[in-house]
Order: sequence, then C-alpha cells, then structure tokens
Amino acid sequence: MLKLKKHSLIFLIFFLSITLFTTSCWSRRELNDIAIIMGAAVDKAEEPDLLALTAQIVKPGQIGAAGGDTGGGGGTDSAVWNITMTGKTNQITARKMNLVSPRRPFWSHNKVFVFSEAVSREGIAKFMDVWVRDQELYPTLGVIIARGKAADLLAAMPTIGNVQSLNLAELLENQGPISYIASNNLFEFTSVLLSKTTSAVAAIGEVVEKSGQKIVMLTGTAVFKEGKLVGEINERETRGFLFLTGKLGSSTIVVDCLESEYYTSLEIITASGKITPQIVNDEITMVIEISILSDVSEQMCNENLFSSKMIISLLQRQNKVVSSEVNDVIKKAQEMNTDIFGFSDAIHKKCPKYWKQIEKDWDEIFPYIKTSVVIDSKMRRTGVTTRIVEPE
Amino acid sequence: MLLKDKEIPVSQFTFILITFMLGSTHIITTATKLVEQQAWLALLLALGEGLVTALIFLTIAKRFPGKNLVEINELLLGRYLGKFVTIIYLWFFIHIASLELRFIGDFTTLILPETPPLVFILSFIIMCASAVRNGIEVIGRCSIVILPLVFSEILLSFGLLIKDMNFDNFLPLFELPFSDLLVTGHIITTVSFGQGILFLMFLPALNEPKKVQRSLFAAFVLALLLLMLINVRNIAVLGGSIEILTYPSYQAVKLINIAEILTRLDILLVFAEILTTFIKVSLLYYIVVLGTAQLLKMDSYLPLVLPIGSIMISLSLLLLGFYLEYFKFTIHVFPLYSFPFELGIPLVLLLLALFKGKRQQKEE
Repeated sequence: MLKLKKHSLIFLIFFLSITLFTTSCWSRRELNDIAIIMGAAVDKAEEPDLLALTAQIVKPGQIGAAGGDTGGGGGTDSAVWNITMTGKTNQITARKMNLVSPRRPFWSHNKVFVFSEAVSREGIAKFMDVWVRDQELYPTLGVIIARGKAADLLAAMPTIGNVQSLNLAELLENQGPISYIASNNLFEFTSVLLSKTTSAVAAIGEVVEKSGQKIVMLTGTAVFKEGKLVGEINERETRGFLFLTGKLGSSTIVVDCLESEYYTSLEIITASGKITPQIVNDEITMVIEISILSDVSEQMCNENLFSSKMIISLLQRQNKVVSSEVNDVIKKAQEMNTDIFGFSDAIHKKCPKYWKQIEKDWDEIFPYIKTSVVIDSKMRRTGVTTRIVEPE
Repeated sequence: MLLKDKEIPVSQFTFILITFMLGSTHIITTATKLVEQQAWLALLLALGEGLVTALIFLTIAKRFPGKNLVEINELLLGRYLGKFVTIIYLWFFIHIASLELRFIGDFTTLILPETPPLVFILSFIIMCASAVRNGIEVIGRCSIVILPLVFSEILLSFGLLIKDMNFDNFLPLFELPFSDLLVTGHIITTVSFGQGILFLMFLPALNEPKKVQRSLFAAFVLALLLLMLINVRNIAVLGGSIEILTYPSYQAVKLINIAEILTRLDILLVFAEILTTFIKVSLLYYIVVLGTAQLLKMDSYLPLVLPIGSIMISLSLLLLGFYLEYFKFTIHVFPLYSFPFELGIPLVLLLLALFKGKRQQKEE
C-alpha cells in the first residue's frame, strides 16, 4: 500500500511538472505584441505589375482617448494608422508590413476589404484569393468596391466612432432599411464568383464631401462578369434587383399623388421574390413573383384612405414603381449580359436536363430571355393617424 | 488473459462504434464534395453497403462465439496463412490509425500554424497510449462521455446555422449519374462503416454477444444520422462554394454569426474532431496492440503499447507529404486498397466458415 502511494506521488509530480512546459502557448501572441488590423484595401501600385495593400491598424491607446472630435485619418492623434506597402502578391505585401510595424500585424479581426476599381476590372479573384484561403480570417467580413482608389476610403473621415474600417463594415450592415445597395460579405461574394453563369454583385463606396468633411458614401452596386467588374447598377435598379431576388430588407416607395404634384410614402414591411422558369418550345420565360406588404407612412396630399378604391389605387401606383424598377434592372443586366439574378441557377434547379443543353450557350440566351413580373401588394396600416394633418 | 471476457456492456459497444464512425467525419465531408448537393444520397448508399458488410462480419462472428479475428483466421486458414492474414490486418489497422494521427497533426496546425505537428501528435498519442493501457473498458467509458459532447456540438452548430441555410442548394435532387453516387458511397463506406470490421477483434469482450447484431445496426444507423446532419448543414450553408474548401465543416462553423455575439465558434468543431479521432485512434491502437500480443502468444499486451505507439508516430509523419495527398489517397487509392480487408477476406472467411460448418455437421 505504501509502495503504491510513493509510486503515485512520483506520477503526480511528473504530470504536474508537465503542465509547466505544456501551457499550449507555442503560437501565442500577446496583446501588446500584435497590431490589430481592422480593415484593408487593395489597389494597383504605381509600379507596373505590383499591387498596393493598405492595412488599417488600430492604435489601442488612442481608441478610448481620441473621443469623437479628434478622429480622422492621418492626424497625429488618430486612433488608426494606415500602412501601405507594395508587392507582387497580397501575402508578401502583408508580410512587408513588418518592416514598418513594430508589432506583428494580426488579421483575424479584419472587418472589411476594399478593392479598387482597377483591381476589380482586372479580375477580383486573383487579388482576393489569400483572404479566402487564409484560416485566420472569418468569411463574414464585408466587401466594398471603391470608385477610384481603395486606400482613399480607409483614409476618409470616420463618421461615428474613430475607426474608419469599423464604420465601413457597419455601413454595409446598415443597408437593410433602404435597400439601395446590395451588400455582401466575403462568403456570399465568393460563392457567387465560383458560379460559371451567375454574376456577382458588391457595394460601391465613394469618397464624397459633405459639409466640408470627406466621408464615405455607398453609391451603387458593382456588377461582375467572370470575376471582372463590367458595370454597375444604380440605386433604383439595385432595389429592383433586391425585390427580384427576395433579398430586400425594407425600403420606402414614393408614389405620386393623384390630384396634386406631391407624393405619398409607402413603407415596405416585408417583401419576397421568387423566380420560376417556364420553358415552352425552347422559349424561356422567367416568371417573377413579388409580394409586398406595406404601410402608408407619409402623405403629402389628402387622399381618403377609408376608401378601398384609394387603397387599391395606391397599391397599383406602388406596383408600377416596383415593376418599372424590376424591369429596368432586367433590361440593364441583359444589356451588360450579366445574370446577376441567378436565372441560370433557377433553370438548373428546375429543369436540370434542359439546362445541360443550353449551358454552354447561356451568354447568347440570357440577353433575350423574356420575363413576366407579377406583383402582389397588400396594405397593412396607415400609421397612428388616418389622414394628413389638414382640415377636411 | 489478454481479452477479459464480458468486460464491456453492449450499450457501450454502440457508443464506441458511433464515436468511431464520427472519427472519419473530416474525410467523409471532404469526399462528399465529389457529389456536391447529392451527398445525402451517397451517404444512404454508403449505409446500405455498410450494412451488407456488417452482416458478413456478424455471420462470421456467430459461427465462432468467444473468438476474435486472430483466432478465427487461424482456425479457418490454418496456422501459417492465418497468421499471415492477421499480420496484414494489423498493418491495415495501424495504417488507418497513422493516417488519423496525421490528420490530428494537420488539423491542429491549421489553428496553431507555428507549432510543429509532432507536438500535437506526441501529446495525442500519449493520451491514446494511456487509454490503451487501461483497456477496452476505459475506451468505452471515454466514448460515453465524448459522444454526447460531440452530439451537442453537431446540434448546436446546426441550430445556430439554420438562419444561414438555403435548402435550394439541394436542387436539382438527382443530377449526377448513379455511378458517381455509387463510387462516392463506396468511398464513404471504406472510410467509415467498412472499418467496422475491427469489432471482430474485441467481440469476446462483450457481455451479451446475442445483442451484438442489434447494437451494431443501431450504431450504423445513428452514426449515419449524425453524418447526415453534418452534411446537410454543410451543403445548405455553403452551397456551391463547398467544392474549393479543404475542410467544409470548418468553413461552415466559421460562418456562425448570431448578432455579432455568438461568433468564432470554429474551435468547438476542432474539439469535436479531436475527441472523435481520439476514440478512433485509441480503438485502432488497442486492436493492433492486442492482435500483436495474441500473434506472439504473449501474456499481456502492455509491453507492446509504447513500441507500437512509436511506430504509429513515425508512420504518421512518413506516410503523407502534405494534406491534399490524404484527400487524393482517400478517393483514388483507399477504395481499392481497403477492399480486401473490408470485403474480400471477410467473404472468403465466410465461405470457408460455411463450408467447414457443413463438413462438421456431416461428420457428426
């Protein structure tokens, strides 16, 4: 018994001493040894064949101290530090940052990637491969296509908070209530890029001057074909696109008043879209069913909402706006020959055999596909009042 | 006695087998990329093939109650051929165990890229060696703890990803030719259900041999359900992008994002993979050690634990160059390589057993 006890004591000491050396701290990175990158921008460098990578590093000491009024890119007490390096690939360029950064760049908390227009036109896949491949990054981060230089977006003035990349990431997430921009995260963007026939879309960001400050505004949706930026759709068309694909969060439809030059706002509560292919004698018609539930949220003229005729008329006017937006975006996409709606996927899923026959000719077929848009609108309520604040 | 009689209850046996099958999740999820959205069908075919192989094993087992594969081999094939077949079986088991060990090295270095894989392999094999020294009963009890943990990981990730799921990804339902599905189904069987042959090695340790059939089938079906859950999750969440991913489950779990609060849960998947692989490697390790001891007519298998462990470490480092080779090996070589072990030799044994059985009856 005593022998056993001695034995187990030795074992205990042995195993306890193991814990001294195996604290699983091999690849540890202490917080004060890393430079946390919150956003990055990829540009073409001025030297030929090189790319310029800009990383926005957060200065931990400044985050709390800088407050609201001292922010701004490049300033001495800015909360962030933008480094730009040039190189042949993203990976080596990111490593080159160690030449200027006293702390090791840490990519895991990256929130947003900005790609310049030039990079996107050249083919975005080659410039984003490392960000998809690297295990440190999370695929839920946002993607913005910059009009012009990508680094400018990171250098612009942060509006709320003092880290511009966080602002950009939140900006992308905040598009639900307006639905003028199709915002994507890296995962959604790359999964469409992998498709042979469906075209990817991404939000376009632009530096604009508002009351003397250079801030970033989202100004449209970029359209890709085979991984290359080929064009863009404007806000109206983007909303049509979101209606069609059923990704619309909420929005406001402004319709004309019947008897005056003013307007009525209809707030969309829920909207859904469904694409069904119909193939009759080799002629493809895409039936697009959109159903909308909306509230009357604003009236600039006195239209009697107790009359069901008026409600029907309002809904008809709303349908007209929506269908014109949807038809416009279909026309634009067919002109650019980019299947951003996933018509090809819909045919593939519904009629796999037919799809096999037409797959290779899709580029010739898509511009001439017929569509029929069916919109079903319903009204929910008129807010807490029943008519405009005006005597009858 | 090498193998204590009636050591583990049949319910534990089910737990061990399910956890063992889940140990190959990582390779199954990569293999099902071959059939994209129809992985569920390939899995069903795999279960069908798995049940057929299981029936063969069971019929052999029933003929020789209280005997394990080593003894059956010697009885049916004679002293020398039987020993030879046992040796190649032991090689097969040590080979799979080493591949799994390598997976541990590769997968953990994905998370901790600067640590040499040998560190993980070494600490992992020490754990396995400790389990093996304590015998099959301890491995069984470990699986009782591990399976609920892994099960809750699967359910949790499934539940948290429901909002990201798009069940349109399963359309078109039947697109690929049936032959592709059969091939992939066979690959899945060879890496999971087919390896169930190892239960023949520790069958005498079960307390109620009569209930083996029921618990084996239950284990196969439950393992299939869990694998199905994992595959459905991956396809519904990842869609077409599954084809370029090395670890689809890892990417799927990375996408979990509940209101920016529940994020970065990928480490749970790593835990689950390590835990199930622990049972898989321990079981294979135990069987190799036990079989070798029986072959050499040793009184105890304990002296063999460390030497065989070190052979497995070296093999795990030598067998493969880099991770994609494991994938290539699994889909191109393993279906043929494992055929004799998982179906060929068992069939021959079965025929011999039936033949011998008849002759014995006649003599009587």
